[in-house]
Amino acid sequence: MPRSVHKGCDDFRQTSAATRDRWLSSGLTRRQALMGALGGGLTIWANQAMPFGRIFEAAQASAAEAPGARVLLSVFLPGGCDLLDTLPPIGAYGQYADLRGGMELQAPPALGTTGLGIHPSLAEGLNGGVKGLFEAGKIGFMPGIDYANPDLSHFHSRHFWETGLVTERAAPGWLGRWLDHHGSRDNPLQGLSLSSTLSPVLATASAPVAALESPNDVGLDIWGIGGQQERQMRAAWARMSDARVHGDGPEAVHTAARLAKSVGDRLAPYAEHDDVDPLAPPVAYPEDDDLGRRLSRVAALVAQPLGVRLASVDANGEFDTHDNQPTELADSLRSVSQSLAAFQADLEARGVADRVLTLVWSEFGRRPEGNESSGTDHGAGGIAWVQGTHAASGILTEYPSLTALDRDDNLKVTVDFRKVYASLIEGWLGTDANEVIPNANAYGRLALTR
Amino acid sequence: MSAVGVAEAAQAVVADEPVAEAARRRRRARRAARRRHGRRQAHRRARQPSAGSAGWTEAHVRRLFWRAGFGATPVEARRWAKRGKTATLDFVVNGPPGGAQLRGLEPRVDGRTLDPLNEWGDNVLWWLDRMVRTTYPLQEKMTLFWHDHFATSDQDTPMMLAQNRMLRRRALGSFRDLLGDVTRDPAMQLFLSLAGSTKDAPNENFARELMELFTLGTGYSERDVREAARALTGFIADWHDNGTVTIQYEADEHDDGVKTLLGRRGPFGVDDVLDLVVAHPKHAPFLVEKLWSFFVATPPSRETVRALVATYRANDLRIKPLVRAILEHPQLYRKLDAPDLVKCPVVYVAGALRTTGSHIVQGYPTWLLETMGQYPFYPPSVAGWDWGPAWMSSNSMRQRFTLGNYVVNYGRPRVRRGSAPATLTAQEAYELAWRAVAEPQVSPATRAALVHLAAHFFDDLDPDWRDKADWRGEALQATLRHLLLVCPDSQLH
Amino acid sequence: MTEAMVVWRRTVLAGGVLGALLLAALVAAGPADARRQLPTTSVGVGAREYRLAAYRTSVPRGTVRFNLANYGEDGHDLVVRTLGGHELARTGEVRAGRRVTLQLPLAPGTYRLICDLADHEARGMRTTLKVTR
Repeated sequence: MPRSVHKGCDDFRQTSAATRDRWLSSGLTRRQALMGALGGGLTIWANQAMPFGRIFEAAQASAAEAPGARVLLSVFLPGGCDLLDTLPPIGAYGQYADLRGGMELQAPPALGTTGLGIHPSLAEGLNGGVKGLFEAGKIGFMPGIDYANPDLSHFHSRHFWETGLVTERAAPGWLGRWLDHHGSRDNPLQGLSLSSTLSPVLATASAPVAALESPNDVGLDIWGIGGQQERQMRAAWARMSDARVHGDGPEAVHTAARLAKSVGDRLAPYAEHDDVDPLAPPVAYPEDDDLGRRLSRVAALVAQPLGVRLASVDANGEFDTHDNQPTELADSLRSVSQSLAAFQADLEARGVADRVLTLVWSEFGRRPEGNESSGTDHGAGGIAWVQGTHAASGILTEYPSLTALDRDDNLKVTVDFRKVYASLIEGWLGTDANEVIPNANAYGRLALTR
Repeated sequence: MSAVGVAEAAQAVVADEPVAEAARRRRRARRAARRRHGRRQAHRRARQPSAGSAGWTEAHVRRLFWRAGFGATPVEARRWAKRGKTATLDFVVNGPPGGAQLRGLEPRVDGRTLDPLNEWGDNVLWWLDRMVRTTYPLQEKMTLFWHDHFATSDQDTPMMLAQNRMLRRRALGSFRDLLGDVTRDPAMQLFLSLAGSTKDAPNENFARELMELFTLGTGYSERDVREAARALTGFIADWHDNGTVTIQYEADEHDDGVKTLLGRRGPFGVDDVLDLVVAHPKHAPFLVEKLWSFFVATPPSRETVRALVATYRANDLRIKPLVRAILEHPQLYRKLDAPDLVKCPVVYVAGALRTTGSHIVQGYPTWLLETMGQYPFYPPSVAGWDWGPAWMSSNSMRQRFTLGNYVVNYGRPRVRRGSAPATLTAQEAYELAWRAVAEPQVSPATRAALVHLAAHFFDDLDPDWRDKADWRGEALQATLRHLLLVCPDSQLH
Repeated sequence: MTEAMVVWRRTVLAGGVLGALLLAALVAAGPADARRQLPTTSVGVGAREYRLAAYRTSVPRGTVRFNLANYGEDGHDLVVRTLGGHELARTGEVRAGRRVTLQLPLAPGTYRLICDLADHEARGMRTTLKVTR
């Protein structure tokens, strides 16, 4: 029997007073999660409760730029992606259909012998799309992922996922913290946010990172000046930013000035000249698709000797399917499938696929019971996956039961996202998870790579 | 000279003639030396235009005007250097007699006047325009300080504009009055859930931030937060159709029991809580240090803090005397030749426009401020923005570089046709550009780099054609003006 | 006779407010000459769960430009109706944190502004706007 509409949003507003007060007493606005970080250098609001100091001594550049260094890409599906329609439990199809009361997928293709199906849109794209990647052993799905006592607000949840902390305070992103420990002091391209603003996942306390849509828009430009005069102008800039100065402020300014030029210089060979795009992909991405375009840039830049280690991309689709889920989710997942399939083929064509692991995630799942608008409201126990030639393949976590729901009638959480983060830090990036995730050992580990 | 003094002097003369004569000779010698010294000083002052009274130079004026406002034009720097430190401080701190005014014409953007209430982005342009045109910059600067200190975000525009006006009214007056108005401010009450906090369900958000962020920092316990929350109950929000809210106080919803708060006991209400927090010994040093760090890049010594705390308390916790004491402090004037405080994005943009005599004519400041990391009316959290070196990153620096394009092409420093022949020497080209962007303070290294640029800007041209290459001369001017506005030196003040 | 589409271009925002600004300019046919002398008045509209606030309660007759900002968590939209319930114009669904502009000429009278997604109107996302002579 369908629930009344937008119960999820109502749940947010009635989230236990304790949870909400704890949240709101944090000083974090509800918009924190939708806000990009501040220009690339989000610093930590001083607070003794935070385990991270303000300044981390950054490691030397050489480690970060070693050829063959592994890359981790975060792909965010904004809005809360519905597990039940992404990987429909065809082994319990009857229960699934009952819960969804008419809007359930009618004949979803089966996903091998897993007992699960897959949304038809995820079979679209090169080589069978995401379904094809799964069948080729390059995808490990993680159903039931979330954190205990989920907060059903987009802003709060997204902030938790971005920082790797169920925290009340502003904090750098979890990948940003990794760079603070293991990144270089002078390569902003080590952390790439493919967007005009820095993704909060990559916000650091001290390590430089870069936000850009394309190599075309990172040069230091003065209107009307080009050619030799532009080179002379940039040389003057380099001279001015090389001055020896004292004090935190002057040093920060001159370092930022040097790095701004450095990003421009290092990406200049890859900017489009005379209609030639040096980063043109060797495979066909979906047309007019922002996600595809950003992923193609990631593949191209990872393949260059630029020292890219971490990257972050947001999908454009609408996953917050309170109404009209059948159409909206189909469209959104189609873009994801086509873009990710092209991305994987691109990496393989460029010969860098072995170095890259992709984590696809969303900030929560959705309610098992449908609502009256052919949609679902915010819930728990969502879907994430790892993708790559070294990704562990299969269904890596326990699919939540459709009958044993939690006390809010949501799917039970079967894996904490921090376990996934800790596993990726140790299993893929090869460093101690405790540096980034507090109490990392409490979450256990999952084999996410092979 | 007092009667006693005359008697003493007379006695000295009578007592010992040879000693007196030697003393007179010494006095004559000293007077002569002073005259010679005075002549040397006069020469030195004459060589420095408008050096003003000793120890108060144009460099001092620029430092003060940047820290207390949005920079000084060359005319202002010269005028106030002559008037001396006290007169300048009086002017800066008190503002013009009759109160703040906005000089010049109201801005027109996209062919229309600003509608800060109804047009997205116009609220930011409206405030920026105030910073550019006000005759009382310190008032706008302090409004910005309080907006960050009592950070409120993400509320409907009518309420944020009303809060802004309140902060401006209270910016330099009594802190306790400001705190009272902030506590009752609708945007703040909604933001921190104080409206709707009732005796049956008291909300601790405001109580916690009141102590942690607004008044004390440390020195209170979780119990104090809970008890303060109880004492602050009773406000409810009364919604109107036009997006504004009136805050009502319902005695029925107020918990009028006895509370134990910061070591005192009583049936405290809202004003009692506010009285208690400002009376707490931690309050004065907390606010003093925060206000100091807004104006000065290096931390104050313990003695300085003690003295400023004493000033603040002696003046009944009024803000203006405290601000004045900071603005007079010698530490603010250290290293006049090497400014060390990073300009926040708002000061950088408003300062570039104000000092060059430019105006708001387009909407670009809105998205530029966002990408630089400081979008007014949207601080990232109740803790406000992170200041100082935190403003800087390769991304924000790229955005700051871009500002130059807009100011040089649409502002007063526009290069006029025919104004910059290619035959100027490198030195002349530099000076012309430097004057056109309000004579910014730059290091010798920066100056050398720009003169070098000017000297080689025509290298690829056939020398015979140089005198016909005015277009190149104008391009050089645009480049020099742009770089002077955005160079690393110009990011500091 | 249609009015010109005003194209607003805006970058995705950092630090404070995110959203792409789209202009959905919908225009109803009408006597062009009369309209040319009439002003365009902007009305800011804030949407959140579950309130719709228009920052002006009345505007003079002419063209009205509604600048809708979604301060909420969920998608919302803006629909302009006559008191009798006849729909005059609408925006598409606007995601949380985003904005859209809706522009149309309005004759004197009173109009309803609502969000017509799900049950939002019933929960309170409704307000009125008066257009004076």
